[in-house]
Amino acid sequence: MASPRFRCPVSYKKRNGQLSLGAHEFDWTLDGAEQPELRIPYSAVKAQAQNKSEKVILKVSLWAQNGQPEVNHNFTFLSTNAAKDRQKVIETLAYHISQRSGTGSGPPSASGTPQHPGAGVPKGGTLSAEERQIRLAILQDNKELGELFKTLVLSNLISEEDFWATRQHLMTYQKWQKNQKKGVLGTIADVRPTDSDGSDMKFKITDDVIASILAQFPPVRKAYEANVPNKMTKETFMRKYLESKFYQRNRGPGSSGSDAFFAQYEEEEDDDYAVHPKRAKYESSHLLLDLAAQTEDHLETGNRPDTTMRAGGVRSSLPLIRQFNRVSEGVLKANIKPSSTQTKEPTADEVYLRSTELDDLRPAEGPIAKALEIADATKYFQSQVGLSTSTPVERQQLNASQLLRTFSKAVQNWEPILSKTAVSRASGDSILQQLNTLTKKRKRDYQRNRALSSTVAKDAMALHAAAKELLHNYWSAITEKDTEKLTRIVTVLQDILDKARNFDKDSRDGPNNVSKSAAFKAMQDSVERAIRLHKKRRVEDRHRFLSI
Amino acid sequence: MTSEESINLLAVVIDTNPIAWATAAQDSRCPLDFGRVLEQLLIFINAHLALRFDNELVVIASHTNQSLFLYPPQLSDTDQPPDASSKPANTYKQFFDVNQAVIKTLKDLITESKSPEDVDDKSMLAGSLSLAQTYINRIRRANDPTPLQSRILILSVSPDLPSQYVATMNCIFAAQRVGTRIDVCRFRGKHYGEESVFLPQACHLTGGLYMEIPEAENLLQYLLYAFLPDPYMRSVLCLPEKDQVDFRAACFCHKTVVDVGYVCSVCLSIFCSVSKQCPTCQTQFGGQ
Repeated sequence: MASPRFRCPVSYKKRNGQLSLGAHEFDWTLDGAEQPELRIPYSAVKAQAQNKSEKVILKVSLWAQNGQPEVNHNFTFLSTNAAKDRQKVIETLAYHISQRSGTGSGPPSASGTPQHPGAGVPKGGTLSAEERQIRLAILQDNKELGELFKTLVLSNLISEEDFWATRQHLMTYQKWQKNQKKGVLGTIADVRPTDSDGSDMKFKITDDVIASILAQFPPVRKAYEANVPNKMTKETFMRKYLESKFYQRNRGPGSSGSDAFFAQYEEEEDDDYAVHPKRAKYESSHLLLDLAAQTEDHLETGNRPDTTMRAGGVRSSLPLIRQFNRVSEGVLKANIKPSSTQTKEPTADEVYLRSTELDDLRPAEGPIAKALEIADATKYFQSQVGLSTSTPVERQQLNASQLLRTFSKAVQNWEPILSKTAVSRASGDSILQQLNTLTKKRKRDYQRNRALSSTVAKDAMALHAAAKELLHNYWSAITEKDTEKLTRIVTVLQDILDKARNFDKDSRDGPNNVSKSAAFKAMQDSVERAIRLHKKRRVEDRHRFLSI
Repeated sequence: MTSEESINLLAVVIDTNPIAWATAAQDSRCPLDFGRVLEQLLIFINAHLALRFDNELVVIASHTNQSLFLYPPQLSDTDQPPDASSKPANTYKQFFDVNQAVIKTLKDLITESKSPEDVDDKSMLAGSLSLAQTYINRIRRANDPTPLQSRILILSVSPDLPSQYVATMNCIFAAQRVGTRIDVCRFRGKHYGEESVFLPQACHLTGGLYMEIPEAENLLQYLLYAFLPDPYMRSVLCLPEKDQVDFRAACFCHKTVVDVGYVCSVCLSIFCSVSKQCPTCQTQFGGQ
């Protein structure tokens, strides 16, 4: 061996040992043992994955062999430069994986169907591991595409190259998505204890949670920046935070926390009369000039606001005074019932409007609505009525008063004896028949509008997708000289055509005899056209061949 | 909302336009006998009341100039209370009350009609629909926690009134809003009961049933078959219905059906040809 084997301390299955990379295999030896316990040739490695947390773990998965399930090994790197070690191992393994997939043969077919359609081996050219991963990801995300891939490529109807040749856009999109750097998660994290048993509460705090807490509370952020990682660890800081009022405040009233730590970061410089107040409140009234002011008004103060009475001159008593104010405000508010008309702070616009707008100058607004002058109201509505296209009723011109008289007399003499009221049996039955036929017609209409059942629809869609894919490949391959390929495609197309024709026979969907194969008509037409063209070409070729 | 909890309210609106009924009675081919029709209607009402003990009922007469409650009867002070002793022994009291009230009030209504000049050939359909819906609302509030399922059955023979178009459509929309189905039973003959435009639309919009009865002799069969099931059962049953509702627009100038036309943007009236001024609302169509 030219170069010494790379070794690093690695723990496997909670036992410490050494991982060493060789030329054709890598192995792991328990500390103190002579022989390596785990020996894995590079050819058996299918994939590897790393995790992102504090512990440096590498997961190596092997090909499933002989019907056994996939085997995964998890290695935890223990050294001080664990990440660098892991990186080295990853590079080596990746190199070998791509080497193997590029030139070697695929896994033994006796291993059974893999869980997802494995990216097959291309005929020519190497396929980088990244591209393979991309293809795999696309097939996994898009179930229909995966199905199509399985039926078409794995049964060798269409080569994989052809399949992906028309789907370049999918691959570029996936590649872009993979490489996209995602920022910090923006959700406001709700920290809750996990597995809280009694007084002992466990909290799970990830980096995202920390970021969201820092964004929510500026004092916490200031404290964090000042202390971590120099004066205290993240863990200690989070502990302090959880005990503090910030967290306790969210949990509900009554639980006080220790605020001493955060208090120092919280206080803001509050000087009401500073030259440049930190958060200058916008007073809309400041901009309004009192045009009626005379010189005499400005003698003492000039243009400054009046500053003779300065509250809070003694800085040290400020917190006390403020506290006092707060408490008395609370007392007052609690005792005085708030007025029903809440007087809000008028907005700046309102203040200016009140001062500047004069009522006299506002123009008189006319009425908004304009009356609709319909000349002849009856004619307007009459068009809605009397639309009957059927024969209009011939109103017999009878004497109205005579009619009325006879009618009211008839009604007056009407003494119904309901027990004697009868409906003639025969006519009743005939009406029943009529109504029944109407109902049947209605029911048929209901059922006709019902959608196809889901399995039938799925099968139809799958058939359609397969036909489309094959036709696509056929027409793009028509310029190539590969007649064998074309013939192969055409045979499958014929097969699909027969399946489409027999679609009805296979799936009967109740009395709904709407022919489903009619739905395939367009597809059938195009398939038939392709088949016809192929046959014609075959005949032409044969003629050409014969005539030579 | 299960069917056990809710109360069913049936509102029957009877078109009592005397002239229409009288004309129909004189019809040569298939005369309508008002008495017979009412008898069958009363049997139908009894059937509705018999279905459940708490089924509610209201009957409204839509006369030429007023709408009147036939049941529950509105007793004024001068009327005597109904005569309880005249009830035959083996008649169910509730049926008897309903029958008596309807018959008596209806007779009074029709025979009190004055001279023919006051009586026009029209029926206050919109007013009766409003009356029915306000009654439904009242009963709904009275039974507040219990849900109420209401439907309106209209027996109609009079022609549509164009002046009542807006009012009728408003009633229909109100019914649609509340969920009240409007069913229509239209008597159709050679000389009476021409095709209505509002009523099929009413049924279509509210989810009700529109039936045209060719012979009134066997009205009961139609009523019991199609109009008896309550709204909850309607969702399960499949009832015979008229397929197409005529929603087509007619141009205002010729009253012919148009497929493509011109619409005034102010009053929304439809025309088949362009003009400078809208004939309906006199807005000038200016423009470049």
